[in-house]
Amino acid sequence: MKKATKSDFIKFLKDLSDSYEVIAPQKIADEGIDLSPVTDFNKITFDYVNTERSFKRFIFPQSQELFKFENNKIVAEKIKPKKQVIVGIRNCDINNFKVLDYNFIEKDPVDSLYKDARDNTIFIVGACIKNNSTCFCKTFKINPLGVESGDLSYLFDDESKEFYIKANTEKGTELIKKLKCKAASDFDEKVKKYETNHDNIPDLIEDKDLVEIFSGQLDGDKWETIFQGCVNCGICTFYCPTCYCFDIEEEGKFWKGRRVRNWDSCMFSIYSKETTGHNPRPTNRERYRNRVLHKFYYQLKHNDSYGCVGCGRCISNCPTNIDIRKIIKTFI
Amino acid sequence: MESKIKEKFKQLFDEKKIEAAVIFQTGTIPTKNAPNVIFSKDDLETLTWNPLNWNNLANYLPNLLGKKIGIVAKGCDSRSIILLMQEEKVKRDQVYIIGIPCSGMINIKKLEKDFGEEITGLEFNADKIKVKGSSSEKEYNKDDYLFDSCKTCKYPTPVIYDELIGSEIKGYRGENYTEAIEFEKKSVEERRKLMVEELSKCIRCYACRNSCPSCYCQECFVDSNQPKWLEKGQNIDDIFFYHIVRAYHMVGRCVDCGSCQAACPMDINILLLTKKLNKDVRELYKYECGLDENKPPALSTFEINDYNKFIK
Amino acid sequence: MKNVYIPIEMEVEKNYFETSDRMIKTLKLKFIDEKFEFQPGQFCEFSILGKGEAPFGIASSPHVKDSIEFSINRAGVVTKAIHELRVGDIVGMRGPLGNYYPVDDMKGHNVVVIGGGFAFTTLRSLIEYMLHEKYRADYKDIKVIYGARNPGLLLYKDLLDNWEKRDDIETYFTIDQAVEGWEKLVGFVPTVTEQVAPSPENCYAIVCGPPIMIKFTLPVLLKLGFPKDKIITSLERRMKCGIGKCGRCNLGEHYICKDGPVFNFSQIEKLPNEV
Repeated sequence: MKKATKSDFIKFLKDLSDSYEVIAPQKIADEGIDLSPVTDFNKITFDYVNTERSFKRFIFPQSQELFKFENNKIVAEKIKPKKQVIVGIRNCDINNFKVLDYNFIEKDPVDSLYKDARDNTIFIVGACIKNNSTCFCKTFKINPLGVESGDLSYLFDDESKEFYIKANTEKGTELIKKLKCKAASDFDEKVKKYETNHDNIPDLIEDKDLVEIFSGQLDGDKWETIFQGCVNCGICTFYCPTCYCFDIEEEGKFWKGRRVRNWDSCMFSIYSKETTGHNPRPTNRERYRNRVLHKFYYQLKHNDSYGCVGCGRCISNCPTNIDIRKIIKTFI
Repeated sequence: MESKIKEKFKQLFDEKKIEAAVIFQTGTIPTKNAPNVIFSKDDLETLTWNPLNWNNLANYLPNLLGKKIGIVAKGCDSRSIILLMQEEKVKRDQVYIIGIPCSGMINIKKLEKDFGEEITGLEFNADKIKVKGSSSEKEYNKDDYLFDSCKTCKYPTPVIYDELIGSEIKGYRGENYTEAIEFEKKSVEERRKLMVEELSKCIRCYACRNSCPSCYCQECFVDSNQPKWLEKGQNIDDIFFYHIVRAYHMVGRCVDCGSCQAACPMDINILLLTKKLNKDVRELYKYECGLDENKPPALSTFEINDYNKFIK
Repeated sequence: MKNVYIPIEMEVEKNYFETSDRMIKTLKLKFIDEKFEFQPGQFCEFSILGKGEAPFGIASSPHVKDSIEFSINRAGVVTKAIHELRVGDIVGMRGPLGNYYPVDDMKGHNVVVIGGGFAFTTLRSLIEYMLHEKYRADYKDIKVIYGARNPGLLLYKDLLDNWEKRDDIETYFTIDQAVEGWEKLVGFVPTVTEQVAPSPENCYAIVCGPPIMIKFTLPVLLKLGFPKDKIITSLERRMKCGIGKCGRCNLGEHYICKDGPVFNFSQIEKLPNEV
């Protein structure tokens, strides 16, 4: 456990940039504060509730090459994964591993592209000292102050203007040695101080059993109204830290090209449309139901984890104010 | 205003003149209202009318073809309804239009950025907006935060309606495509640079397409794979292709409501393309869309004395 | 670590039109370096570089070890490219994928196989498997009910003739409408099933065909007294990865590519109606 000033901490990140690409929250022109590879370490900011988008795209990119081919032959090449450090992740977001790891690693076969990226990334989690009205992480028993996640985690103490940093993994323990600053023992105390800041975050589910609740409501009237405003864009799925659906596409021709995977969205009508023209989820209603059930029913049945971490991005970015919290409340 | 709309819809539901209504309901967060299709008069309770109603409600009509619909329409919504009537996606006797003269919608994202923290409360008075946050409170001029398309809106009063609630508002009489004129002045390289800057932000969520009433194709060209027109990855050329072709499909069909841009989560200046094409249509065809349902759309007609030589 | 999206190479050994409308081609593909074994009902991702991948059920018998066969309907981009393949061409293959018909549970049971149209591919694999001298004794009576719109659209005609001659399998082949020269049954598959009336006693029913056929055959089987968990079918969905990663082929909590494609009706019944 250590205690660092902002300049110590930035210096530490800067030193890491010799062997890692450092991805940190920065002010991006019109978009607010978002994670982005750092070119100027002075631009790093920690003054945000959460980043505009989650870190998902750095380990599961929106568009990722599966392999190249040339003259109808696959070009065997081992792509060396980039070593990267992602700093400033929130505890809600990093809980997406429960979903992503299950899908890509724990469930056979292992997706090597994802695993390589994950294994070569160091995750530094920052405790939340503020929250948005759209935050509902506590619903999923996620602690916004969660300083136990990531390789390293920190808490920025507003009062002393110091970062309290601790290592949670072996990787983190090695790394924290490089941080030149004082040791700290009053970490837990500091964390406690901010606990009341998050009293307003709701727990929408409490101890209710969603599997039981939804298994009796796979059809029915409630589904008829909630999706009506939805225009079937992909914002909620692309902003979601846990959504992992992708499409496999061919780029180029047989003499030179590549096979790639691109993020896909279950909200798009094309998503489940078959070559014959038949679509098992033909309207908004089925598509929206599938999204809700996938997050709050199917995932629970599979690996006992919710497909949602309560970050609230789908709520704040939805152009038609479809609010997942309202949907949950409708059913429980 | 709100109570008048509610009353009218209640009456229409009771008289069985409509089966559904397309309205705005109070949102779940202070910065958003929820456009929605309702099927019962009970859902009118949360009906709301304020400067957060930027969505173009005509967008919901093509999916409701065949039903009797009540709809509230701003100037731009009403022009989209006319466009959809021209293209036979909506029948005039199918919709009951409550027209609302619109004093402009506010760009809430811009306001939230300027305010600097999450907005927890909003109050609209004539030309002021009172903004509340968890630690501060401020007042802003509404005019400073209107969407660009609203600032230069020529038809804030609906051009088609069954009943008008509120009094007529005069439209902007100046040049409404100044941005397009500025754009035209740039060299090809400068234009490309500007476009790359904007479009490289695109995450291809297609919120622009899906929020647009004119984009109702059963199968969009980006989704087609026979033939496949473009790749679906993050290559800037493909993103360009999407936005430019979408804009071309909007020629003579864009009412400049700005909902594509308002829906964009990445704040891309999508209107740059459509405004330029709208201006071209105005100059080349002397046409503005969504004003007269009896006139055919610009690109789907020709006259024997057409001044374009290629057609003869 | 192995990149699970890279296919192995196979060579086209034979290809010919299977049906008179020239829409379905059967391809026989030879393993080159890497090989795999499979069970009846499993599928592969067939890959044409530059065109894409598509999933198809394996049509040949698991006992044939150096090659596999597919019967493929020409419909989209990939299938069009597959139809254009020539002998000697190299293609990509990922497989075997998914689960398979419950051939172990079916042991000691009677089996009635009900198929329609070109969905007969994996059923052929299953029947060939059960008829193999090594396994035939494991199963009791085997009945096959197979129908198509007209005689020209029946798959594997030589094989069907062969089965008819055998005495360890009962066959009922039917077409939708009578045509000259056709001396077997006439009528839709559900109607023929009703006439054949297989006994549900100690019996599995394996049903595969167009959704409309399944829709009308299911009530017939239930009426005959088949329990839902002994009525088996193979489902289809738009698939991409084939290995349970990409998400799109879910039916309820099941990924068709990984937990399926073979399901029994008591499983399907509990899922949202999205077939």
